[in-house]
Amino acid sequence: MSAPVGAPPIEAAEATAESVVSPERLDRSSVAAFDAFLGDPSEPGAVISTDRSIELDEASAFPRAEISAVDAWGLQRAYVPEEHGGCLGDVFVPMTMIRRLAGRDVTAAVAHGKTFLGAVGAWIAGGPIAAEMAAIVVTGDPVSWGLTEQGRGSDLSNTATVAALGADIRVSGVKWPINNATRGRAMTVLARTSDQPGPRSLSLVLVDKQRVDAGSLSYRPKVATHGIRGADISGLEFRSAVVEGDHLVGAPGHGLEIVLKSLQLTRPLTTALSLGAADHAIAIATGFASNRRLFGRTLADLPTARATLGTAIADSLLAESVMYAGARGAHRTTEEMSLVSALVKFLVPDTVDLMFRDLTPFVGARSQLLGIAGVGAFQKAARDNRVVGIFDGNSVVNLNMVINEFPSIAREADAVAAEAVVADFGFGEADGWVDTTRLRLVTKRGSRLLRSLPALVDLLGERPAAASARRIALELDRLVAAAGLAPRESAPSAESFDLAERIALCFGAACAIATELASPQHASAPSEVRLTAILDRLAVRLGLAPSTAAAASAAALAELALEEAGRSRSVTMLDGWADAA
Amino acid sequence: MTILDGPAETRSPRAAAEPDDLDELFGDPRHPGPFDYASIVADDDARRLSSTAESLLDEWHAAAEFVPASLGGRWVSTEDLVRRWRPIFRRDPALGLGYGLTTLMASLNVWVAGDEAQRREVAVRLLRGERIAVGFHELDHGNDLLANEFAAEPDDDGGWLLTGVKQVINNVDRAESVLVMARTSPEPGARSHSLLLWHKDAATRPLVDTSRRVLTAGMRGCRIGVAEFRGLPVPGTAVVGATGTAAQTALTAFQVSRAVIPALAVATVDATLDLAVRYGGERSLYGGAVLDLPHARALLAGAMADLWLADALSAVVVRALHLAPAECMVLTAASKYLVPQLLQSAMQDLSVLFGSTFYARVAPYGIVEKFVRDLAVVPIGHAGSTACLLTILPNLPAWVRRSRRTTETDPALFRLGEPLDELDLARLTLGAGSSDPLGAALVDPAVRDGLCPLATESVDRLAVELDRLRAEIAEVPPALLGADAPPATFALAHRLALLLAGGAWAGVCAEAPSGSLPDDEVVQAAVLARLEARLSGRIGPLDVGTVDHLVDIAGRLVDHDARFTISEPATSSPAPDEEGDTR
Amino acid sequence: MTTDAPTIESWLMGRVVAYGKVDAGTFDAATPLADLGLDSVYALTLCGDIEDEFDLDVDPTIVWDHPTIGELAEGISERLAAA
Repeated sequence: MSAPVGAPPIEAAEATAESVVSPERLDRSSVAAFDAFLGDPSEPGAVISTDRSIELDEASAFPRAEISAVDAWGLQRAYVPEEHGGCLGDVFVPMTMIRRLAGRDVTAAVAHGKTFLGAVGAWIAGGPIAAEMAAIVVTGDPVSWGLTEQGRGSDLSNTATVAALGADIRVSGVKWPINNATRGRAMTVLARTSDQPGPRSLSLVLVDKQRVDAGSLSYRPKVATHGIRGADISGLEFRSAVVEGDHLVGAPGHGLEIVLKSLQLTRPLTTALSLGAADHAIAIATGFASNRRLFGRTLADLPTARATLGTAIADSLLAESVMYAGARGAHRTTEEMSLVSALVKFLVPDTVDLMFRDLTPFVGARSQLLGIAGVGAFQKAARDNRVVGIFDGNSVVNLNMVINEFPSIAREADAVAAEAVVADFGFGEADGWVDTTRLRLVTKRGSRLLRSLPALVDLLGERPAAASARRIALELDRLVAAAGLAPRESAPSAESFDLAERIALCFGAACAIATELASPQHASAPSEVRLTAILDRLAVRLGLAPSTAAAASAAALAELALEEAGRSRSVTMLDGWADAA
Repeated sequence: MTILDGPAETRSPRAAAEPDDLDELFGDPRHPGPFDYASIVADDDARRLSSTAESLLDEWHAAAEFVPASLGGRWVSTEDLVRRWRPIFRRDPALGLGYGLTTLMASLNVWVAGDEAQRREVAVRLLRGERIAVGFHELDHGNDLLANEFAAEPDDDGGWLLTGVKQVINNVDRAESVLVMARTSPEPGARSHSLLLWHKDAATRPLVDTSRRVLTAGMRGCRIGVAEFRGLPVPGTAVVGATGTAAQTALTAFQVSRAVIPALAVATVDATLDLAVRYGGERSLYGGAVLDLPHARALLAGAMADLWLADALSAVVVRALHLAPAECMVLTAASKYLVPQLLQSAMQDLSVLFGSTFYARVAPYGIVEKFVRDLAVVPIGHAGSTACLLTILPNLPAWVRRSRRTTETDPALFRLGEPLDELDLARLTLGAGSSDPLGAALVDPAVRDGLCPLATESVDRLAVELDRLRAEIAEVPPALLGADAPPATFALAHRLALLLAGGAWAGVCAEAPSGSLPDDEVVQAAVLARLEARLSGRIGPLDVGTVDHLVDIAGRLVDHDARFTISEPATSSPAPDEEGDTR
Repeated sequence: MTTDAPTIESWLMGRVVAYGKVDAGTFDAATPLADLGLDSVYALTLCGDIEDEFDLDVDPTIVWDHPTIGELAEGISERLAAA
């Protein structure tokens, strides 16, 4: 018997720095350049080819050549703020690039993008450590983020790793499971620096393996994972590892605070991975629908199949809007990111995961196969996407954060001018790097975007999309009232979780409407089709309408997508973003 | 006619001794052993099935399960078959599929349509442990079997030459025989395909390339492959049933497999629930156990309710094969459509409960990730969920008429575990039958009287919903009941499946032995509440009191090493605690 | 509005009792808030109450930096004075 997959992967030719031409500055115009650099994944010679990604995944092998090529292109420069010598301004630029990378291979995107997560604490902390971090990141050396420890799940306050502060810092403990723990050059480690109880006893330490006695480090083996099988998810043990005294990231005792603020920025960023997985799935499903012949016609001709495809596309467009809102929020409503980042991080992976589950029977046997030409990507992307909902706080953690914000969400606040919200979403807005001093651990009045939903709905006027929008806005009224009455519990009830989930769905509606209104294509016929399908779908997910009520708008969206596919284009809420600034 | 025809019928089906319990043969998978969870995960990683387990199954004569007792095998009650095979699905669904289920699917066609000689030959082969692969699937046509292109051309001496490619065929390389569906007429329609059984031998083997393996995301250990036939000659006697009857035969045989597979898959979720309770009780998070968190408790309770509904529907439909065979076309399609959905929903909730322990495959819970992947295959393989709905759609108008006139239920349908006579495959039909045995449970006073008060309120609402559904279906023009039906029509079939499940649950509860899980008022109502939520479109959490009660039950079941399923007699009773039990 | 620490302290004591986790008289201003059953959720609630009462913009880190009622009252008082 032959085994087409599973043999040791053939190494792709490694790209060298000389052979790569990348833009001097990385801004939104560079997204297209990055996309072109990555190439057509169906071509075996592309930087990331789908066939090779599947082979590597099957062999649980790290995409080494792929990552070297991306390093050589210099994507990591997009992770470093301009003030520290990099190109990071508008956070949506690296998000979009990571989305493109994930659209080829989520494993590669996770492996590369993790450095953003490992480094961002230093940008928040500022000072000499930021320059130190920047020097590491721009070289392309990976930085990992040492938060979790075995058996403690998402519960960071229980951190047992210790850093003894003195003339130097001595770190002892085990971080596991950590993305890039083994291959990473450096790790930003959350460690206990005081015996006192409470959050001020934790600090962040930058451990640069090049400056630490290798004998004081040891590794825990790679963890087998459901998706991103090739990723370096492993552990690092510190045995009284000696680090220079000035390698604290931020002040002593500020570790947890910086981590919580970092997460407010990394949570939206990681949703780009989900979008990449979704792009992959939608392309496969759309192609399948137009080529598959069943019962004498193409799948796309069958009304129910069309509705299923359209529903999946509506979900992916919702996810795209919410991801965009996360980026806009980081710049424009930075002080609300404790809530916004949780809403975004819950809603995007959850929606994309739902989309995969709905598409699986649609794609049929191909959703499960690999090793037959042209299939295999779907099952990988489906597994890969689930990691997004797990790391940096899973759906339960994020919903819990939303629940913690119920009093803020329910607190009386001034009316929001919807026009100002739409202006924040403006495609032409070019922001510099986030003013991280504005990050707060809790919002005062919830989310301005969420509160603006009724006003945004008013801006839709009598447009067809407004029908579902109005119902969702009314639902939000009820939900906010219920949130105000919800008991404060350290272990919230299942009802509170359900409430938080529904609020997140309403937030999604606000994201979609604001994105649409800010789009250069605002109120065009295709734009109407997109928004109506998204909002009808949200009304169904909220239980405000039966699934059949969204079928017509979903089918219309599928038709639009199939037309666009005929022109080798995909449907997006962000048409024009790349050229707007 | 029954499949008892022929000399073998002198043998009493009851005489067949009950084989050993596989649970005991395999041992507790949580504890180190030759077929424990750790070895199953390792085999899955290596894309192979456990050789230990396959040897055990060989010694156990597993294939005899698929041979009717009248032909010398162990198969009398299909419910017993499911019960005996469930230990496999509690450990490794891929082993269940890869070792034998496709042999069951293939042989069913022979039991349905084969002549005496074919049935005897296949029985003998199975009894000596051989496998048969099902060579139906062509990737380009999926569930649209009538579009299949694989061809059988008549040769000069009454035989056939087989040419074409069959894809995604389980065991095609190692099976001793392959049952293929081949086009025997160029005409479109349902009479152009025939079933042909190829017994591999030295002379013909080289004419078929079965060496190419296809890899899958779930059921990784299965040896799924491609078979390329290059003018393989088979004799005229290879045709199973008359030429042109492949569709009819397969649609009849499918009913059995559509009933059996979901019922087996229930066991995988049962095992996952057990693991979830153990994980939730020992894993510490935020200063307490996971199962101290209300959200995690609600996830567990919801998954339990979904499992029970899935178990009741699939078990009743398995019994219906024997007791209401004429109605099984719709019933088995409903089960194969809805049960995998319920199971997936339960697995989704449980995977959230497991959190990163699901994603990072960490012992001793690494098996859960495999279970999730394996179960994802169930709604796709064999008969996809859309294919099942397409089976139901054209039968909807007839169902309405049958349903309106059926007011009484057959209690035997709901008495899970009661003995059944050997299955009479000839009584299976390709239509809606003459009654609505499950819908009737929502209106039959005999069922209603057997329920607890909380449950009757729910059942009364479902009865109203049943009436509404009948009225809505009656409005649908027959032209809209085909593959090009609009989503609204598919939604009707979806609601029907849910209501049939509600009927199955109500019936099982009404007939439940005193002290059993479905006899518990809170359990009865919880499952119905969850079902009603499904009908409404959005599934919210169960109320706190219900959740607490269900989580208590879960803890007790695990403490007593008892199963979550309701369709199997308890081996050790999850006895109520001393100080008064509410069940 | 008062900005002196003792008044703020007694107001805080009242809030803590109102949360229903501890009875009045079983603790004093030097008892760590964490020992009063005030986990992070109540820290958020307390921040909201402080904002509403004193019209002062505070982050939960104020409780991290001032882990007893006495210290917290001092902290609030200082911020009010600086505002």
